[in-house]
Parts: sequence; C-alpha cells; structure tokens
Amino acid sequence: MITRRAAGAAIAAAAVAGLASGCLSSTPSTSSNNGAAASGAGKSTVEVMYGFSNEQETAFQKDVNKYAQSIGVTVKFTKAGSWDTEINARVSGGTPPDVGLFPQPGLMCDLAKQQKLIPYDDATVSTDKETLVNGFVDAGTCADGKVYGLPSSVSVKSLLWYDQAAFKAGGYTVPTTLDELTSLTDKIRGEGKTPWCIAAESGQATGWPITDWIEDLVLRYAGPDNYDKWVKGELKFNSPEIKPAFDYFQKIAFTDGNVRGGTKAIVATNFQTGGNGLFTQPPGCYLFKQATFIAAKGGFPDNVVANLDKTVGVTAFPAKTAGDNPVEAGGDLAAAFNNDANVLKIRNFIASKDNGTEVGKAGYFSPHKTFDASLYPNNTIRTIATDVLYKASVARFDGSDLMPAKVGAGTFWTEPVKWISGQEDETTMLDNIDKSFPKTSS
Amino acid sequence: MVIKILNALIAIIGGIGGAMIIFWILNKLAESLKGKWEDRVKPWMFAGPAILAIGVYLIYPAIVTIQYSFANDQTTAYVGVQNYVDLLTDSTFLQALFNNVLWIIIVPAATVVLGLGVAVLADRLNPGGEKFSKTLIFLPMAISMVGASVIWKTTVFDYQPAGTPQTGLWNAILGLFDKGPLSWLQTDTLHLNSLLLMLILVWSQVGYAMVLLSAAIKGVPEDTVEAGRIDGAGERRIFFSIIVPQIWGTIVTVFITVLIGVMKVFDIVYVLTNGQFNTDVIGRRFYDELFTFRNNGYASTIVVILLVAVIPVLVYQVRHFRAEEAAR
Repeated sequence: MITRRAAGAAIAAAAVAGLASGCLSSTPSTSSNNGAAASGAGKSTVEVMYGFSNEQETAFQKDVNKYAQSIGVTVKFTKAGSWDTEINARVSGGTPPDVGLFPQPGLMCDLAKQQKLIPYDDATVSTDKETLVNGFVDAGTCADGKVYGLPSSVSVKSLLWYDQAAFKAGGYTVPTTLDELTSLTDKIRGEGKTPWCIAAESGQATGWPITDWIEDLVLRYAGPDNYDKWVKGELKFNSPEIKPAFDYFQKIAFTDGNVRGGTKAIVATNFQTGGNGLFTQPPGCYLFKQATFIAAKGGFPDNVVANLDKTVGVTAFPAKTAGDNPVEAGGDLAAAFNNDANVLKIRNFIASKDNGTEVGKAGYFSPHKTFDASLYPNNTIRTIATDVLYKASVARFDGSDLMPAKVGAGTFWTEPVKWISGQEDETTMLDNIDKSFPKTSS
Repeated sequence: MVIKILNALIAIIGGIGGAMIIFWILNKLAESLKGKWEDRVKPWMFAGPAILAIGVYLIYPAIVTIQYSFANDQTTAYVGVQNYVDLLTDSTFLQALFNNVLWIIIVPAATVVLGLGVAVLADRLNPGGEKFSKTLIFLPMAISMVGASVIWKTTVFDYQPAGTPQTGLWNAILGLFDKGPLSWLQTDTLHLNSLLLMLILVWSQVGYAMVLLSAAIKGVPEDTVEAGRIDGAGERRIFFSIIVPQIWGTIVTVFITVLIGVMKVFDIVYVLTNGQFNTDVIGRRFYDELFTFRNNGYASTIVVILLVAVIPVLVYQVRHFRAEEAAR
C-alpha cells in the first residue's frame, strides 16, 4: 500500500517537474546584446517587430526585404498582436527585437529614457527632415533632445468625409474654416436634416474617436505649440487655451438635431460603421469625421468602398483660418534596440523616403513629401496625400497617444464619454481629467 | 512545426523521466538512513519538490505582490500605505468595488438557483429529453468568455442608430413595437448594463452548476424520498427537507466555485464596456493599472485587496470540506 501511494505521489510530482522543465526549455534562444558598443560587422539576421497587419504588413515586408537583400541581410518579421503589451514583455524579458515600429511615441520615449533605444545620428535626421512633413521629426524626439524614432508610414486623421451626390443635391459647399463648418451644420439642420454622424463606440476602447475630435480642435484653436504643452500636461484641460476645443465640440455634438440618433447615440454607435449614414437614402447625415482607415473594407459600406472615387468626398478637417491647415496623424516610428551596423541600416531605410513603394500602393501614406503620389491606389487616397498631408502647415501626432496612459488611454476616453452620455457637465469632466494627470512629468 | 512538436515531446519525456530519476534517488537516499530517520525524512523527500514548486510559483509571487503594493508605480521606492489610501478614496475605484459586490450577491446565487432548477426539472424528463436539454444548457460552458461576450454583444445587445435596421435581437424586438433602439450596454439606470453583463456569466455558468447538482440529486437515496412520501410529504417538502439537505455540500461547493470566479471577473467587462458606463469591476481595473497605466503599485494593491477579500471564502471552503470529510 505504501509503495503504491509513493508511486502515485512520485508521478504527480513528476508531472509538476515535467511542466516546469517544459517551460524552461521553451526560453527563446534569440538574445540580443543591449550594450552601447556596436558589434562590428553587423548581424546577418535582423528582427523587425511591428503591430500592423493585413495588406500593410505584406507590403511592408516586401519593401524591407527588397532593401535587406541588397545589403545581404535576412530580416525576421515579428508581428505583435498587442503592441504595447508585447514590446513591454520583450524588453523587460531582456529580449527586445532589433528594430521596433512604435505606433506612438509615448512608449518609445519611455524606453528611450530607460536607455533601451539607439538614437538616430544627426546626418540621417537632417536628410529625413528635408523631405518629411513639418513636425514629424519633433514627434520622434524624446525628452533628452535626441531623435529615437522616425515615421515609416502614417495615417491621416484630420479628415472630413461626405457623400458627393448628397452634397451636390443639397447645394452645399465644402467648408474650409471652422466657422464655415458651423454655418453649414446650422444650414443643414435648418433644412430639417441631420448634419452629423458622430460615432465613438469601440468596445473596450470606447471614447477614443472623441479624443481625435478634441485634438484636431485644440490644434486649431490653441496652435501647435500650445498643443505640445497640453500633451505634456503643462496646459490644463480647463485652461482658456484648451477649453474652446471642447466648447466647439459641444456646439456641434450637443445641439439638438445635429447628430444622428441624438447625443446618446454617439457613445453607442460603432466608430467603424458610424459613418455609413452618409450613404443611406435619404442620407442619415451629411458630415463625418474619421481617419483614413474608414474608407477601406470594414469602414464604409462595401459598395461605397468599391466605388470610392465616384462616391466619397473627402477634405481636410476645416482650419481656423483658411489655408493654415494643421494635420493630426498617426504613424509607425522606426526605432532601434540594438547598436549594430546592419540593424541601424535597416532602421534608417525604413524611415527613409526610399521606403514605402509597396506600402503606398496598398494605400498607406509615406510621410515624405517627395513620395510619388501616383503610386497611391486611388484618387481618394491621392487627394488625402497631396491636399491634406503634404499641404499641411504642421503635423502633430495623436495627442492622447502621447499623454500619460492614465489620461491618454484612461480619463481622456472615459470622462468625455460620461460628459456625452449626460452623467456630468463640461467643467466636471475637464476638472476630472486634470486631476488624473500624473503630477511628475516624464 | 515538426521540430517544435518533437522538442515538446522530448521536453515532456525528459522532464518526467528526469523527475522520476530525482524521486528515485531521493527515495534511495532516504532509505539509506537508518531506522526512525528513514520514516521521518521520506515524506519530505516526496512532498518537498511540490512544496518547493508552490513556494516558488505561488507563495513567493504573492509575497512580492504584497511588497509591491507598498511601493510606488515603478517599484523604486516605498510609499507606505499611500496606494491603499489613493484607491480607497478614489470614487471610480469605490464604484468598481460596489459593482463587484453586486456581482458577488447576484451571480453565484442566480447560477445555483437556476442550475438547481434545471437539474431538478430535467431529472423528471424522459432520458432522451433530459440528455438533450442538459446538453443544450451545458453548451455555453464550451465557449470562452471573450467569445461569449462578443456573441452577446453583436447578436443581442447590438445598437444601430434609429432608422437603420437593428441587428441586435433586443433592439429588433423593440423595433417590432415601434420603440426606439436602446443602447443597452450604455444605460446604467439601476445598473442595467451591469446586470446584462452578469447575465452572460450566469448563462455560461448555469451548465456547470447543473451538471454537478444533477449528479448530486441522482445520488440522493431513493428510499429517503420514498420514506418522505409515505409520511405524507408534498413535492415541495420533499425537495426542501429531503433533497436539498442531502445535496447541501454540492450546493456550497458550486456556490463557492462560482463565487471565486465572480470575484475575479474580468473578460466580460473588458470586452463589452471596458468598465465604462459605471460597469467597472476591480479585476478589470487591475488590468488597466498594470498594463495600460503601468502602475505596479496600484495594480499590486488591487491584487492584495482581492486576496484579502477571497481569504474568508477560502477559509470557509476548507472548513466546510474538512467537516464533510469528518462526517464521512
């Protein structure tokens, strides 16, 4: 009896030990040297990690592989399903990739501060600066004044979408200033129609589309310098510079009859399909603000996407004064974790104006003004590139991505949602966001 | 792929084989001791590795978490009880705690009652009907919480602006009566949205409760029920005075298992509302603090609070288990 019990215990314990040893044996074999010293000739395999997918991923791999082959380097592509989580895990586990494409500079600068990243050399920065849209180099500059990331491909957020036919039928003109936008809104509402579709439901990220609205308005009302201060927490949400942005949004979104489904519908309507009202008969709404991605599959209805150029109208989100058009963008910043000659070559290529041919064909923008716009797949994308992105007076990255996560992925989403769904007023919302802003600036 | 599988197999075989050799050696070592000492040492030789594993993978992390809960967000300096003060005075955290209490009050009780009801009623069906209905009710158990949440969100709670076809079941039904679409998950009047989230958990857990309770009911000796009948007890009396006392142990076990699951609830809330619209629970808040806000201090503090809250339940469960063992 005793022997049988012992054997049972032994098997159970052996299973535990087996599991444990199984875990140990699965430790990644790749380990990269994080030291400052360049490792001479350069690695033959460079790992590039990113968070995008689908056509963008395939096109990006094609572009990078073509270059890598020319310098005799093999590139190992790693896709992170959830970028922040995975890159944090890799870095804290001591096995970061060689090159990472950060979807926003916030986390990148955090890692730069921990000295996990290699800055760009001055020559590369000044070459890229010549062709980059004004403001993108600043976006990748961290607190120590060094440039750690430069964008490879960007998306444009400051866009106003409409339906060409509906606009023509109504006899409306495309607004170029915020005042014109207000009067157009009033005009459409005056005709008994609903001017706006606003949609901010995004599952666990509900609220972020509102931040894009506010950021664009802050960029316009407060200007790029104040925008930067606001993002860093030096200007409060309830300051006289920033509050007008919320006031303008309130005028658009809270006025009875302005938004399809009423104010309460904003936080319940999905951001992907929320603009589909533009194309119903009769139109459910006439104006919709959303980033470029909305004009692809999954966004506007399939029959609209199939006939994009003939159906969809797009223009820069109106400026405060006509012509001075700041653009809010998102993008992937290439940064290096490894001071190795080949790693730096790959990183510098990814950020250079020579990169992006295939990515451009797939409909993603190069941040370089010299990019051959004829490569873009359709007129809508081309219009956005030439009329909005490359004509922009200044570009700024998505501010909520740059703010401390507590605000940028926290209260800046949740508090406006409470405001819009009527749980609190504007002042309370602004005060709550300010209160949540971490005291120590990074 | 093949290499990976082979590697895994080698790791498993090597691991188990290695462990068996270790135990064999430990056993031999113990046997080499003389007399009483062999008996004294031997149990530790066998229990030791398991205790070590629990120590390294459970006890040690728990202690470190408690330690972190007294440190700042980057765990670089101690801040005393500041994290606890911050959280317990933060109205949004208190709201999350309150929601947790609601979950704890409603979900385990609802699950047990419904599971018991189904088990009792299914027991009276013919064998075919019983199997069919039980399978149907057990099915949701096979779906992951995230999957279940998405299904409920897209097919039941979905909201489309008024004037467009409603793709969500409930809003479609409302539409039949010419009632405007309701944004179910955004409506927190009387905690409606929280209740809807709970509904999903109950839906997926009833099957589990039903299976265990059904087995327990079938284990109730027929003669006790018959004796009750002979003494003139009605069906209700038989159920509450004869069946329930005999399956009480199972009821408590199911209740506590669901209760512990509810205290840790995260996925449903994360997927459907991410804690917005007053539906937050502390499990989700913990995730936010650790992975979104990267605040080790707050995250650890929440874990410690959860740990403290779970302890009485665990103590009760262990006691209950011991009492049952003793009664056997």
